[in-house]
Amino acid sequence: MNNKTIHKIPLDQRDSKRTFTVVAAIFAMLIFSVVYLKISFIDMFMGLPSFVMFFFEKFFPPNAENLKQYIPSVVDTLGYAVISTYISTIIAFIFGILISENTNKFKTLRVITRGFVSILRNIPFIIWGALLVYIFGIGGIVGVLALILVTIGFLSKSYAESIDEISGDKLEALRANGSSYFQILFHGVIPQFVPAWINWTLFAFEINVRASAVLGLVGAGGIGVLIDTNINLFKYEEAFSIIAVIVMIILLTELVTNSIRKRFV
Amino acid sequence: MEHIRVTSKGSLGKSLLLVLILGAVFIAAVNLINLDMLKFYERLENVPDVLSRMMAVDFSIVPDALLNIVTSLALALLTLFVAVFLAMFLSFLAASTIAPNRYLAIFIKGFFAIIRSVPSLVWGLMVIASLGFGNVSGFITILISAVGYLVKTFTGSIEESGGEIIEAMKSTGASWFKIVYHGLIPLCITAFFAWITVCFEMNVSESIGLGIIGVGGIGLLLTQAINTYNYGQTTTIVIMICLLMVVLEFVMTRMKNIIKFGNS
Repeated sequence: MNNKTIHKIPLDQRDSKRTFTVVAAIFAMLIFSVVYLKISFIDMFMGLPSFVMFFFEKFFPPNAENLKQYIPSVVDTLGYAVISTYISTIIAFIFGILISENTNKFKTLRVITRGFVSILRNIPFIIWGALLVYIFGIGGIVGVLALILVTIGFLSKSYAESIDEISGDKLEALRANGSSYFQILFHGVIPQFVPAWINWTLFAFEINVRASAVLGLVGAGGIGVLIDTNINLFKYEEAFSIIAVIVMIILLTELVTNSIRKRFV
Repeated sequence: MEHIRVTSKGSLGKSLLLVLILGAVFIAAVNLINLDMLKFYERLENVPDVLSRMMAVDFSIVPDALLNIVTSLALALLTLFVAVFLAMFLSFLAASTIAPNRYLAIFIKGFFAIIRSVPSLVWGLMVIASLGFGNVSGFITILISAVGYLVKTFTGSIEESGGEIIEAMKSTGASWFKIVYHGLIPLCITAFFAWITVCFEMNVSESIGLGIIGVGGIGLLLTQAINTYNYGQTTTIVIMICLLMVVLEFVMTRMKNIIKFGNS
């Protein structure tokens, strides 16, 4: 039994010095954050349990008495998502064509569109909502407008990436045949782009449903208004039933989009 | 000359039908909700006025805004760190290829599916109702949604790429912990890192958004500027938020590429 003393084979060959510096830097940043935010560790780790306690005390059980009154807001919320998905799909498709190198040969135009789209995409949707409510006043149409702007930002980039992925060979073959730009677009680019288009659009619809459910918090209509008022009036149980309704909407949307996706893609 | 079909037979009818259905859904949606177009047109008169007043930049807010940006970033980073730890732990319990207990795995997956389907701002409202305004509420809110997101994506990565390694290591008699630590973590760490960078971007944008409902950070500063009708400050803060997010996107893409292709 003496051969137990064979030397150990190291299982990892990482550079320990570099790992150490990275870990140290991360820890320094974390400690800085804790100090800067003035959070005490106890608060931080007790936060979640005390939230869960509060949740079960106040929000439970959901009060489902006024369930019928929510239906108009639910319809509004879904309607905003549908309308904004439609409009932004069309606009984003044009932008996508303008951004992609496959379909747009003018570099300046590409760069300008890309910059514009990245502004739309990078500002969080709730900030767009707040800004547009500030400019146009409260109302459902402002919510639709905010959703359209954010979705254009998201979809244009995704569409452009999908168009970029279309192999250049086929387009070159078409070009060699002497097809015009629009012939290439309609017979070369779009048929190959359709699966990705369906996929991204459904994805955008899911995001829009989620977003339009909360846009009410800044006064842009939909079911979010109800949550906000009920929580401000301390009617937690009713707020919880509205939240449950939102969860149902979102899960149902995912179910529907997934089944459409399986059919078409 | 013979005519060559470019599209297959019957595809015209199909696409016409599709367009009709889609159009009907759109018109139904427009009719079902009352959009109040008239009121909107009336208000449009004020818009040029508001916009022209917003064409101002107020530099006095910049230092304050920078400090608040650091708050938002710090909140996002702290949450990210805790969330990554929790999600690593949970996702190895939830991935179907390695899960020690099948029912526990199903439970974790279902639980986080429900958590994910509540929008983060709604979590924010609930947390603020229970813990009050402040950074702790922000921390908890972002933590909830970040863990939800990371558990889903981590589990996906493990299930996608782990199968053969798990089998090989199991046949040598390695324990669950050894499979995870020496087999799966080194394998999945690049995929994890890509998700972590995405999650950090989401955290930052969430921590900005949470300012709207009262958690600290740059969002709160923006809300204050909006509520006091301070046009110059509003524009400045929005520009700064946009710059922050653009820079963040750039840095995160760079980091993702460095980790992926290893040219550091």
